[in-house]
Amino acid sequence: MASLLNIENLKTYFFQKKHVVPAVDGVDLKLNKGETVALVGESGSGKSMTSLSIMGLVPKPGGEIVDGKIMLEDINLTELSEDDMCKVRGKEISMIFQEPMTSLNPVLTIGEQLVEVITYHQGVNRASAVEKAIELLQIVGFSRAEEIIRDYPHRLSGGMRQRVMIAMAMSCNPKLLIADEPTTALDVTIQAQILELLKNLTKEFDTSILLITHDLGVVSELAERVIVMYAGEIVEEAPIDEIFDEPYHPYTEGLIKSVPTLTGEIERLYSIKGNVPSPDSLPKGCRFASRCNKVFGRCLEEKPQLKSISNSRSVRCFLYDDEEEVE
Amino acid sequence: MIAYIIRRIILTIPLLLGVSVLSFGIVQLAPGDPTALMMDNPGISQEDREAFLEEQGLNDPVHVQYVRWLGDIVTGDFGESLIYQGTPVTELIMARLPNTLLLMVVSALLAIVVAIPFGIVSARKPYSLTDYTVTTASFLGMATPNFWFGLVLIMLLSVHLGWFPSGGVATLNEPFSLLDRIHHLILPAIVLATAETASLTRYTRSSMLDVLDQDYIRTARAKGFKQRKVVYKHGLRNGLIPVLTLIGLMLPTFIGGSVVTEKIFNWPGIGLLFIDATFQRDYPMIMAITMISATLVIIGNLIADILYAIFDPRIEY
Ligand SMILES: Nc1ncnc2c1ncn2[C@@H]1O[C@H](COP(=O)(O)OP(=O)(O)OP(=O)(O)O)[C@@H](O)[C@H]1O
Ligand SMILES: [Mg+2]
Repeated sequence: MASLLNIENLKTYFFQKKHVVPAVDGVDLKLNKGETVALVGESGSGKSMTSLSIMGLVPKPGGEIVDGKIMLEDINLTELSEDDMCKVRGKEISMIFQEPMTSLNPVLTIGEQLVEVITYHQGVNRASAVEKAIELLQIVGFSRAEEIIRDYPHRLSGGMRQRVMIAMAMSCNPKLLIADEPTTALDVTIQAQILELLKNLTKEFDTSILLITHDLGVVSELAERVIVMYAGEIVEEAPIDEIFDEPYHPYTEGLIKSVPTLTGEIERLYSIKGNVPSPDSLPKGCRFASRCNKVFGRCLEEKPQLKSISNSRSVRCFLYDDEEEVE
Repeated sequence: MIAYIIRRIILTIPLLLGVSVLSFGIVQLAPGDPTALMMDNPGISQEDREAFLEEQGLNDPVHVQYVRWLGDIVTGDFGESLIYQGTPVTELIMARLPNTLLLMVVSALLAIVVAIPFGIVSARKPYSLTDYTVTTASFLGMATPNFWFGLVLIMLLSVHLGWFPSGGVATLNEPFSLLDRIHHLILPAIVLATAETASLTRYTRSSMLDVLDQDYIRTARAKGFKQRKVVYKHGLRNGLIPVLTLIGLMLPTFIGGSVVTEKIFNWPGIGLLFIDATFQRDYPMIMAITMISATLVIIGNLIADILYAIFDPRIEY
């Protein structure tokens, strides 16, 4: 499969008065054409910053990409000027966000918000942009698209707004769609509909998705591959059909165990003890050591590297450092 | 919308009644009466004075006077001035009102035209040198009393440099000339506009800062729009909605400010008329001007609300 996105050693830091926060600290990530990859991890692990780095929208002042390459096919996005990056955003790469309620402009009609992006990137006239907008709204599931186009966002529910966001994101046939927790703010039935929609769209438009979430249920619905992030680093990477049955990293194991099951039995929900270490006081050794239930001496002294275990899996953990230790 | 406006206009009636009762009472509470100054004139005796008070009905109890006044008002009769004997109050006011309105409108426009761009520039680069400069200037503008600022300007620009006339609406005994009128208008308009410009700048800045931090701005950027388009198309309209309200609410401060400004620049508007009327206890005049000001304030509020409804689709009536 041809590679679409290739991130190498991405470092996005926040420079604050007293200290430097390494929000993304040396991330390598590959995404193939048409593939859906999930990026999971607890709050604060750097998922959003990774995606904003790809979009070139790292919050300024303060945030900065200090190192690394982000290759979209054969262009390095980190080297593009702001003007050139504007031609990539919304066209080659688009993004939908967690908060559908506030992500649409309250004073512009739904139609205007769709039309403006179509005319901007595709250089078509208004009339055909309006036509395209109606068509897109139908694709994302609005039956009265001609009316919705004149409505303002406040008249739509959260699920409907997220559909509008998806229509907007898909309007220029992007190669990559970044979905940052697209269903977190929605209730369960709506979540399922939105996921279904995303699944169908990627097939139809042949778009790759970088799906950011901390909900492993969502992951199993949509993704082919999972990348687990912890404290700014990737700690494990695995195909979807292996990770649930055989997680390698103790952190991944914890994440999977903490997903509530629908078996009906009332079980105490597992939670990983402790918190993500604050990014300005990271330990010398493994960043997960203080919370790990398999920690041993070396973890506190040395920093583990991301290591390939097979051609589809890799993990950052000393448990897998020697062949013998792999169970 | 029309129904809403009509409802609002009907609601102003009890409001104006309340204002009239309060101000009528307060005016009567003030010591002295319109005859105080007459007594300086040796040609007027104590008997003349009593006769005057009786004739004007000023010896009646307050509530009787109020009801009489209200009855006249309803028929559109604001009474006659006690000082400029026999001249209807409305006639005196109408002669002055255009001057005041001109000053207020020009100052308001000046405030808006200066404040909004500076507020936006400040918000686009918060904590930059530009922002600090604008912020400092705004605080100075807010802290400067307008009577002092007016006097300083007169001293510097009129007395020392002779660039501007020190008062009045036009050069005396000369035919009407637009340039001359503008020349006279500049200093009073600046003085009246200063405080409002300053607070409007601050308000625009914080409103824009707030808006530029919203999720839909991030969405607009994710669409690939350049920063200019993001700020002006997606930010500005949202940011200006609360500013509009403030502009409507500026009126009371403006009316207060215009009284002081008119006094300093000897600007023959109703502010000046009001000061004279207050010193001489010209009751009908004080009441008429108060009622006009109250009406202006209410209209300002109404306009602010209507603008709000026009610009914010979330407001529905
Ligand atoms: N504007 C900022 N200034 C300083 N630090 C920031 C800023 N934004 C994010 N960070 C830091 O960057 C780190 C990663 O944040 P990020 O938003 O990428 O987390 P996340 O994995 O998306 O979490 P969530 O699941 O809560 O969305 C966090 O530790 C956070 O403290
Ligand atoms: Mg996030």
